[in-house]
Amino acid sequence: MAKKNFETSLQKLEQITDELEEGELSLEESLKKFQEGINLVNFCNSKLDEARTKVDLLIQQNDSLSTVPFNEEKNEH
Amino acid sequence: MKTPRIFKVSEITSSIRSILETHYPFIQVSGEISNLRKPRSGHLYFTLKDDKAQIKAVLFVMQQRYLNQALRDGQQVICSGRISVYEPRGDYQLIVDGVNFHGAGLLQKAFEQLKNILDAEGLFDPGHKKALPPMPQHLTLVTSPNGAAVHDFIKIAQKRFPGCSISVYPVSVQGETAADEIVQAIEAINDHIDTELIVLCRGGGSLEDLQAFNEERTARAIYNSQLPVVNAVGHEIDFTIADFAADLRAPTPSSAAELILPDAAELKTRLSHLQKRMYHALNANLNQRAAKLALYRKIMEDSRRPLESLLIKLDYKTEKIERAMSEIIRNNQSRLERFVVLLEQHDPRKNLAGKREKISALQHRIIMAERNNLERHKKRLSNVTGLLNTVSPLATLARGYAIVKNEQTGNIIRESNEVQIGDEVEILLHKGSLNCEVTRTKPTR
Repeated sequence: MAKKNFETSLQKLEQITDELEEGELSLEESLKKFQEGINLVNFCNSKLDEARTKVDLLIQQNDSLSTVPFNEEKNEH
Repeated sequence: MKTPRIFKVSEITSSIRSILETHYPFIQVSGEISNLRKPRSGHLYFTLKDDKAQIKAVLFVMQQRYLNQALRDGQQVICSGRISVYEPRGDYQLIVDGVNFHGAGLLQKAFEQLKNILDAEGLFDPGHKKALPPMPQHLTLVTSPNGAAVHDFIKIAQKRFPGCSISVYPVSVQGETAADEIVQAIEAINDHIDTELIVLCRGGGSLEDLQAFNEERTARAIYNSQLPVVNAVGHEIDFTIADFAADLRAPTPSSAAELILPDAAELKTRLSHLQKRMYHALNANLNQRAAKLALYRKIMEDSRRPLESLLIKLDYKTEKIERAMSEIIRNNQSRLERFVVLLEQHDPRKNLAGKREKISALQHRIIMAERNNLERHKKRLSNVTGLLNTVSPLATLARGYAIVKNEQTGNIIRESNEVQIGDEVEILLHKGSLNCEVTRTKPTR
């Protein structure tokens, strides 16, 4: 299973909407799909509502890269 | 002792000015324009520079009408003019009369050459360009962590699509080590960082400032990257070799963020549209089912009564048919049995032997009867033959008798009155016959 991300969620949501609109699902399936669709809408909305972009600064340590939170103000001259 | 002359500042400056003006009344200087500015007066001030030195220059407003294109920072030009000194500040400067844009500088030439070589080699091949992820979850900026560029990019990214996390890979974007750092960054990110996209990011600058992005190894590192690379270097019009090698060229860091990231507001609209469609579809589905259900219920109710009576009628008829059928079967069975008995009674095989016996008895009787008949006839024949011999007229005739027959009637004449004179008679003899005419008759006495 691919990791749940915005793009695949949106695609899945579009597919579910199409299926519901075709109207060939049984009642149980329709309700199940609908619930799944609502969950996807909520997931996508929550992704879009994330308050701030997460920004890391990569730091070379010995041979590996590690990250620290990127603080624009502090790095600004 | 003659004391050395002490000049006033204005004296020496004026002297320098006259020396310079006399010595450089008309010169041509090749270099790159930088620090271009245009105060309210309309005169253009800039610095002409190469990789080792610089000289101040001014293009007065009345000379500007001879320009066939606008000046801008980073341009390689050949300026013609004279050297003068601006005495209040003690600055010597180039008073420009004309600007030749075609006398491209060495850097510009090198740029074109490298571009042509790499193009021929296929580094800019559109077929090699990788597709960008439509909605990246994570991207990595290769940039100076201190510049305005990174700030611009993050600001726009934050506004458009906060769902995308950003890592900043700090490098120098100008100077001796910049190209190496950038190449190393691209390689390290490909090897070690779980990200979807690399963005090379830097503000605008002179051709020299952007040199790291015009290096061959930078172009090759971009070309070889497994991850898509977006080049967001400079202002609108600055093109670098990296721009051609990158999978996407953005004119500025801000526009890169706009090109790379979807617009959250648009996505929200799309989501709410999809949600509405889902609600609508489900509702339509439910309504359709409810309507169907109501229809079926109505049909069931309407048809319940007639259905019941029909069921009873059906039962009744079925029973009747069954009864009738078994009656017919029974009748036919007994008829059949009767016929079988009759047939058995009339079995021809039964009489066949008797008939055969009878036939052979009759046959025997017929044969016997025929045989007796034959014997009897033989016997009679021999009797008759004997008798015949005794009574045969032929025998009498042999003894000399004759038979007289009327020739006309054929009757045998036994008495004389049976004929008239003149009648013709036939007289049969033992051998032969005579035809005679009666001449006289003599009755019996």
